[in-house]
Amino acid sequence: MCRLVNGWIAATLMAGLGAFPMAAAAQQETPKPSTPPAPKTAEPAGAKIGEPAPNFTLTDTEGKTWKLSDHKGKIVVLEWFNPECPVVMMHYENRTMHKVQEKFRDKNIVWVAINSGYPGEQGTGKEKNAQARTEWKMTWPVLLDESGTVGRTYGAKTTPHMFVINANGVLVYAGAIDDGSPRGIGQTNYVENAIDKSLKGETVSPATTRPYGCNVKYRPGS
Amino acid sequence: MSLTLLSGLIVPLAVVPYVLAAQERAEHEHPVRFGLIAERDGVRPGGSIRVGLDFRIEPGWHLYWKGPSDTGAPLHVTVSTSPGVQAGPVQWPAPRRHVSPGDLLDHVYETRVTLPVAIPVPADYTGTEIRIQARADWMVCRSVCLIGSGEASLTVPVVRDREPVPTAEASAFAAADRRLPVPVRDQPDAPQIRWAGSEAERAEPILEIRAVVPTSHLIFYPLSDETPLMDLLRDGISKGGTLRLRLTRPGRVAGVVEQMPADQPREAKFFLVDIDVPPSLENSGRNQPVTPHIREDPGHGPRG
Repeated sequence: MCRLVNGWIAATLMAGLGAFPMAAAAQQETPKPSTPPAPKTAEPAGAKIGEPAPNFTLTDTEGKTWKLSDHKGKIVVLEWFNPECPVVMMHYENRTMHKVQEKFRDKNIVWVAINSGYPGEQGTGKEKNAQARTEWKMTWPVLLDESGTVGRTYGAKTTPHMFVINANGVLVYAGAIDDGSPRGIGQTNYVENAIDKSLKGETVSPATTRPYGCNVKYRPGS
Repeated sequence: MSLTLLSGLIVPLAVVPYVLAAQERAEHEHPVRFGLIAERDGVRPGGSIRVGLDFRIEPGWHLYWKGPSDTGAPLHVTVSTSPGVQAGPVQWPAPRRHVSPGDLLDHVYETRVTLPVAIPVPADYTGTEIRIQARADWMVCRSVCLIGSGEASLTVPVVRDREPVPTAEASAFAAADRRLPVPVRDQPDAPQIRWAGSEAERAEPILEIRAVVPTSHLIFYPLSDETPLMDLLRDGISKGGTLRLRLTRPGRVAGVVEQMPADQPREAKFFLVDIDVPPSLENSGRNQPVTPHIREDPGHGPRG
């Protein structure tokens, strides 16, 4: 059953790729009886390096709607987020995300944090995320993806897990924020590299790395 | 060495110091206890002693092994010794698969894991003891994750007048040994590995691992991010004796294969696989089995 639901969600998202205003996430939660069977081989759904980044619409902690397709022509960074994950906390204590954005201050980079935790799991809920945003002086929105639909479409596994979309709307990087570990931040910031290469029109390398951090707290049983 | 002195030196071995440097105050709250244990109560010059980096993990929590997982971070350990002796590579018992919501696949240790390290003592070693220090850094998770670290040290007496005997902790080494892999070469019951080509018109390479003894399941635990696995969540465990790993491209396949016999006693065996899959499917012919090149150096030595 679990795989049926997943297959159905993936199919919906793929269908929604071309025409951006996607169905509300809530609708995708409950499959109808006419759910098509899941494909025999489960292909990684949605986001792929070198292909258009799947569009999505989410609401931030302020109640504002945020839509990826509203930011065409700009580099967009998606940061998977959980304010109570110790690896996220380590990076905020070191201002890792702030420093990258400060480097590209004049380049019109769009940065959003996304929390795909299911309500009741660690670090979820509007209040906790709004509070973290204030405490850590995050100038960028924290989007709530409680159904986990967007997280699964992008294949977000950890917090943090970073995705960089270039100005043409193509996904050019997916992976760790840097070459660090829970023991400490790294020397090479992969997101900074991806933004820099994208600005110069160069190929992003590495385009994928293995992220480290807490597991995304997806809906239990999903 | 007098008997009195000898027994005095043995005592600290029995009472293993568990140290949680980073979380001393939170010792009762943190779900991992880290310590160093010894397999025997001493070591003779010219002999070798195994010490173990020992992790006791509260039920429900898990640590991550050194190979790739979808989430978390690999357990990180360092070992140092007193002058005159040198520690061998850290041995990593095979982990277990752990799937969490969102189809996240991790390779983890639960309850307890001991990482053995052999320390040879030169025949001309003149000291009365060797000292081992270890540091571990870990991420431990259940539904939530914590970061932890610990340091531990252990003194092992060098004995010249008797044979060392097993300590009370020797069973932890035996448990680790049961999950340590052996290279597939020269093992009569090791699975056969072949390049199976592609079953459909699609081009993805498939590496087939087939047991030659009655087997209830095979599990593949990857050792390297270089291995271009397409879908380890679904391909990584078999029903029966054939495991088919779809790859996104030809490349190096390095990992540990768990082989669970269908017959009694149901004690799994673990094999180390480290092979290069031929670069071109076309050259080898579709569906023609090809024996992949098995690396001479299994490459499972120490990992920091």
